[in-house]
Amino acid sequence: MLSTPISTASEPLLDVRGLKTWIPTRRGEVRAVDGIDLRVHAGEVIGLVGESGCGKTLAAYSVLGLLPPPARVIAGEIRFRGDDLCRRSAEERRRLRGSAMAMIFQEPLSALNPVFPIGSQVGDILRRHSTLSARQVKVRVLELLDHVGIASPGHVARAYPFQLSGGMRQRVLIAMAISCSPQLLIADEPTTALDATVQAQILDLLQRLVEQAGIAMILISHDLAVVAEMCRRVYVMYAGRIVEHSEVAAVFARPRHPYTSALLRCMPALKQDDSPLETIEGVVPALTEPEPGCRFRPRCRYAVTLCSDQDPAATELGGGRLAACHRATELGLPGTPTAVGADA
Amino acid sequence: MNLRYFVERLGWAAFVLFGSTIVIFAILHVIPGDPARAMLGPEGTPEAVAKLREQLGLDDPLVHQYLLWLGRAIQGDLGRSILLSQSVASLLGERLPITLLLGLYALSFAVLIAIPVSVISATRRGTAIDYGGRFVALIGLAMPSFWLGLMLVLLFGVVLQWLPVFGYVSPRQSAVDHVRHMILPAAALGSAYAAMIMETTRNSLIEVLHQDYVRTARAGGLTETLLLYKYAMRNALIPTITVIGIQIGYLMSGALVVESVFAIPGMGRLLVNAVLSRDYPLVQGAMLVTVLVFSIANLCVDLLYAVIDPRVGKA
Repeated sequence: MLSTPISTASEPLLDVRGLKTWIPTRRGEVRAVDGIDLRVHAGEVIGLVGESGCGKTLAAYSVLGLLPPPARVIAGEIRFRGDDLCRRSAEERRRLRGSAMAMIFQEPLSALNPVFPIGSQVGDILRRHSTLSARQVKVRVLELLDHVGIASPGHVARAYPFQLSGGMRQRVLIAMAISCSPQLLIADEPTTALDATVQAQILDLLQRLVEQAGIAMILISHDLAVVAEMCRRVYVMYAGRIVEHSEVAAVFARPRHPYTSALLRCMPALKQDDSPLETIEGVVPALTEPEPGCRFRPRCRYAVTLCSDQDPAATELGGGRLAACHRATELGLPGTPTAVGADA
Repeated sequence: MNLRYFVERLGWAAFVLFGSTIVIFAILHVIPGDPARAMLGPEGTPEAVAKLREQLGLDDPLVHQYLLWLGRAIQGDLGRSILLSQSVASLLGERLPITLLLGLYALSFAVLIAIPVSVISATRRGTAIDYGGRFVALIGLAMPSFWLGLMLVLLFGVVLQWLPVFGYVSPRQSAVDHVRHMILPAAALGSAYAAMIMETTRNSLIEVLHQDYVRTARAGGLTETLLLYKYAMRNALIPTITVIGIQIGYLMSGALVVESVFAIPGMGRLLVNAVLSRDYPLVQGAMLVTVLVFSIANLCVDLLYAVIDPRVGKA
């Protein structure tokens, strides 16, 4: 499966071009998402990785039209099924949300309304996007809960969120997200807040559901191991930019951006010896007035003079690979020795 | 709502009531000197004092007196008013409903004004409409109810002559006149209450609108109306109900003043007269029903919590 080149033939389901999502503050504009390109084809699962605060979530909110004010899209296109969403009215975008595109959030504990029963919350989304009768909605809610692996759907439908475990709540949120058969699902760190054992179950469930229904999924994560297992392609994001894009296996075997390479070295699961776990020195730069040059330069161990003078553009490296690094071709960056995630 | 919570709240209300009866009974006995003499004042002859002492049973042991008083109170016998030579129970029976109606109207007025304004303010946070609404609310809060009452009388009663300026008409006599007479007092009493409810609801609504579950609902494409009135409002009302509950005491003391301004024959004027003339049986009776009303109102608030928030009493 990995040997096939990244598909470019059909028109992508989601085609994000030059997206800039900025947040005005007293200290100036925070360039949270600063010109990213991202493509997702129908039925494809892609990864979007990066540290906290790199703009992953705001990029996702931009796609769904869920940006919390005062954050707003100031430039770029978000083409969904060929149609630029930025030109659509709030009402048109609202109709797409929950039906054609849906999202799963990081914190299942707070993502459900505490004062309404589960069944009512799932049902509200069904009622919004369909013409089902009250009775049909009830039946469909139970089917959905059963579908996401909830053992006693009737009981859970009548329960309140505080009566359910974190894993159960995330299943409910997944049921809500897939209730109206979306074409695109954005899962924002869907397992970060869960216990390790539950994480695997939820990931399995997501994988099974998107495969069965042919749903395209953007999996947002800071965990490369999760991405390796679930996705074919991955976008690596740093300080509001996409710094590398490639097939997962290629990224793991031979990263082309120093940031990706550093991320790989930080993964506990991929460590081969007893050496202490690595960290990336320094912090993500302030995004209000970025200094000229590469945004990763202050933390990069391979930086040269050129890196502080000139902002590296994303360069095509062949086979659909992209890296935004002046030294992408000359550096032989260390990846992971074994092909972890090769079967992804 | 579960039964245990209900019984617990009911038990608590009963406990508060019981404690209050002790305090109310004690009032008569903490005044320095002889209560009978204090009631009758300097003009009281020794014979009159002795007669009153016997009438009030002041020579019996305290516990005995208390139990006797409590037993009678439970049966609805609150003694006789010294000033008006009428049974306290029948006096209260005439006056209490009027004050309760005034309080109820003021509460309705406050809620009907405050909730829509708080929604408008919260959804247009930081705009001129928000600041305008809050400014008006602040004025409402800052103005004493008697002053506001007088201003309302001046505007609607004297200048515009739309509404009667004082007095009371029973709803049994004429429902229309009853309402016309109650509009201004209810507005005067309710406006500060409205301001408190508005500010609380606005702030909690703003907080709730930032919660993750509102984002989830938005991600599901739910309309802003459904989001606001179903998903956010029910959560936002929890602090509002607390404020309504806490301020019921304010409403009752405010009623005393407003009744004076509008010459409404409610509990307020009765209580003021009773205190001024040291009519202790009447003071005790009035306090007892006030505490009773307050306890019932608080019990209702507690039960309302459980209806609105399923976590209450279950966690």
